[in-house]
Amino acid sequence: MTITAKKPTVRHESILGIVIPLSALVLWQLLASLGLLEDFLPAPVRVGQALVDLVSDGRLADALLISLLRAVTGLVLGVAIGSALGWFCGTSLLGSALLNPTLQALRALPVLALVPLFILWFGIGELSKILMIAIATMFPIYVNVMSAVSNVDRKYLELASTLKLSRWQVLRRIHLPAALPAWFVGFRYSSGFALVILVISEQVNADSGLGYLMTEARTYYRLDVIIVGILIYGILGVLADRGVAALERRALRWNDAVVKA
Amino acid sequence: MSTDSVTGASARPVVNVKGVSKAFGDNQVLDNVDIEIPPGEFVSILGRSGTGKSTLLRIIAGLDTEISGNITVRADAGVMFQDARLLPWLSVADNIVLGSGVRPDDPTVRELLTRVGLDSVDPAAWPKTLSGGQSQRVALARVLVRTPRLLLLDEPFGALDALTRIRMQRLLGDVRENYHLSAFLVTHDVEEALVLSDRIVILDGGKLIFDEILRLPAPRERTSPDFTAKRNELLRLLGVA
Repeated sequence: MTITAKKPTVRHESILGIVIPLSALVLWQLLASLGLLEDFLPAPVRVGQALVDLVSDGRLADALLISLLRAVTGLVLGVAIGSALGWFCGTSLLGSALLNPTLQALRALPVLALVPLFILWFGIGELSKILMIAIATMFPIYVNVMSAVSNVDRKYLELASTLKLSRWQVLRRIHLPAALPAWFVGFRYSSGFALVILVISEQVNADSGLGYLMTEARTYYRLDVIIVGILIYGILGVLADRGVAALERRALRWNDAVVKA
Repeated sequence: MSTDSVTGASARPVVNVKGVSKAFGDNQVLDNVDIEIPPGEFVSILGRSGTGKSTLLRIIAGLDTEISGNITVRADAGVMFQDARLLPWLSVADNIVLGSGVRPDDPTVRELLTRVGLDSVDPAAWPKTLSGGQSQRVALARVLVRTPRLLLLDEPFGALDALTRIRMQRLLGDVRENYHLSAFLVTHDVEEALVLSDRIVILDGGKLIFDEILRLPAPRERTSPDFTAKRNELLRLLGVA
């Protein structure tokens, strides 16, 4: 005989979760049809039409591609530098004494304050945007990796010494996996930052990409195109978060082994 | 069969500790300690908490190098700690072969798991799924895969329940017999020392106050009169009985 607990199933919960967005959408369409949102919000069907147009003439794909390329390049660069610096400062006292104070000071500087300087230095091309994203995404990784690596359980390092592990083996088998949970915490922040910086830098200075599409739409008062842009940014944000979470679950399987066993 | 170099002409001690001293602040935990472990001998060290037994083991294992005196270790040593110290992010098999050069899918890994009584454990299992006793068995397999000549055992069964502890003592006795290993065991458990050792030393006030080769018949029966008499003698020396 089995006893089933009264607990909402996952399916029920996901249905409940879309009640509010769906109602809002219906309300929005209703109000727009009644002409109450004139000059304020275009109706959902018009936004949908704008989306179809942007997709069919290829402008959305072009803009999306260039925006994604910026975000990913900047993110990869920032994460690589942040990881390397974090590992170096976490394992080497000299490294942390030399670099950490400077990095912590730079971290406190809001990266957007650099926008005017970067425009003058690098123009409004790709470099300034990629560098902005790289700088913004470097710090969350750096801070998390450094503290994780420097707090690796000394017992494991003792074990490494009794097993006569090489420096490379200690890095690969102990430091890296021990720092991975913290790395993912940093990476989640970083991927969020990448998107925020992408949006801002594209709207401040760009001649291509999703942000440019929206800035251009503003000039022509195309509210529908602006809404499409916002939706796309939102979807990117959700996808990035889900993607990181899925990666994290895979990489940290050992951590919830008990649950699955 | 390979010849056993240990039985050769030179039966030099595998461990030679000469005049070793170590202090933590004002606390002189080891004061000019000498001890030799001949090949194949199982030596247990007893002593009250905080007397520096583990410190001595850590010095022999090379984990504590800020000492005065001389240490010579003429054998590959395998170390077991009170906690199994399995890396939680590596599978059982990967933990066993870590740094040994043996591949995790090598048949040796299966054989070792059987050897330590874990034939039912999946080599791909995560350490979190193991019990305390099973983890310590994996730790023993990790030591054995390197074919050491010397075991350094720092209260390896101290955190296990009484029944598991007795099983692990038997396993260790068997393993040591089969592999002809020397061993240095730090323990609080007088009976454990009496069951397993060829020789017992007691550390007190930084010095070895007792050093004796046991002449108890094998197998060691915990209830035999000789055994209980020796146990009471040791407990008295430890200030208990």
